[in-house]
Amino acid sequence: MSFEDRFAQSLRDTGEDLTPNDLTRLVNGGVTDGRRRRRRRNAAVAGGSAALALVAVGAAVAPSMLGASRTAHTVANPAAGPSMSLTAAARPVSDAARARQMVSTLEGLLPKGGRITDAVGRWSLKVPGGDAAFVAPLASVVYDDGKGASSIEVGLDRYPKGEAPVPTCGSPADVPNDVCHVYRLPGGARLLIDQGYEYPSRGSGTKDWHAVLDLPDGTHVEMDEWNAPAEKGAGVTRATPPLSADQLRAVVTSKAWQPLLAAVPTPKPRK
Amino acid sequence: MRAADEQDYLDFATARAGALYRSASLLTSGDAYLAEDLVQETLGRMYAHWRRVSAADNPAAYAHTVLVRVFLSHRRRRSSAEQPSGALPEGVAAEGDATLRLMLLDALARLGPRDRAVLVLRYWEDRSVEETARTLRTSAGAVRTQSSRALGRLRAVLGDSLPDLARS
Repeated sequence: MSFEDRFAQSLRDTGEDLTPNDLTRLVNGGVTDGRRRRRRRNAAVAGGSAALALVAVGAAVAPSMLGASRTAHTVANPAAGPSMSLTAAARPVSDAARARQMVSTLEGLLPKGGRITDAVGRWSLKVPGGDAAFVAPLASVVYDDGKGASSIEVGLDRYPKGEAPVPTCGSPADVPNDVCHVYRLPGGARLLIDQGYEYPSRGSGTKDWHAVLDLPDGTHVEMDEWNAPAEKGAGVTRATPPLSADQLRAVVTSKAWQPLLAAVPTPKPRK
Repeated sequence: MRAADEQDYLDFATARAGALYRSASLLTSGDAYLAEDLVQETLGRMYAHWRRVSAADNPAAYAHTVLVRVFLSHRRRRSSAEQPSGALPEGVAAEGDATLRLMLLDALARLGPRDRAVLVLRYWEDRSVEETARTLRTSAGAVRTQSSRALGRLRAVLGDSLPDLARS
């Protein structure tokens, strides 16, 4: 038997002995991770079929600038943050401009006095090898209030009416969190505040505090803040993320997001 | 995700999680926590794009491809101070030859992540050179070179200590 054959056999024997401690926890962790990805419409699929996947989505999204005619939502307890213009764009705005608005809106809503770096804005994702794009607004910054840098992201989403995932706190057995509540707001909106972990199945390590504002028309404002300057692979810089639950709520319920939400096109309903 | 799609996904994830974990454990040379993280991230990516993934020719093979890429991108993000130890993770099945397992995982831990990925794809997942090249986004020639170089390194570490388990 050659070394190669002996190695292959030993590798098989070793691999077959490596079994997960808890298969259910792995699967639940995968679902939780996937839901978070879906929320953010993060299309960074590390796979060859990413292009295929994006083509399918891109084709379904017609570029549509809604805007002025969309009714504003009544949101309870609007942010104590700065007041922003609610005037919707009357003419098409470029994706790059919208991406900048995503960042400037988030920056304007964060507590004053902090240092903001690594600001990245996105309005749409390009389909590799094509010219179609699908809208997946995201603002991402690293915010440091002087007590440790932390990553903060806000994403916007629009679901076909009635198809938006209802924000729910997972079962504490599967998704440990320190605090999780869903609030009903006047006007039918729902607000989830989940003070949990980056790897929920573990219930320790990097914290990921998450807020979802679910509006009756199917739009979502979703926010995550970590107690680390990067989502994964960076050390914890502080005990908890910088914004309190109230501050999270203030950011996601701010009316400053409304012109941007109004510009997110409605996806086709699922068949 | 609709309930029916979610059920399909859960069936898939439950059926594949064990195999993904085994591959992940070999890729991480026995780091059970990192292996779990990689599998969860891989399954999360499958979930996020499930309707399209489930329509692919071979969702299971695709999941393993994603796993390897998640592993390599993870290795790039992590500092070099966090090399896997190759120590036997707690809680893995006590069956089998623990000494062989430790020895092999320790030897794998001495290789670079890409070398390990090539060997896991070729010898654990039985991928062809061409498939391995596609997964790693490299050429077939590069896979052959990397594969024989990695085997050479392992041989230098393991010598004749791997058992001859020829089975008829």
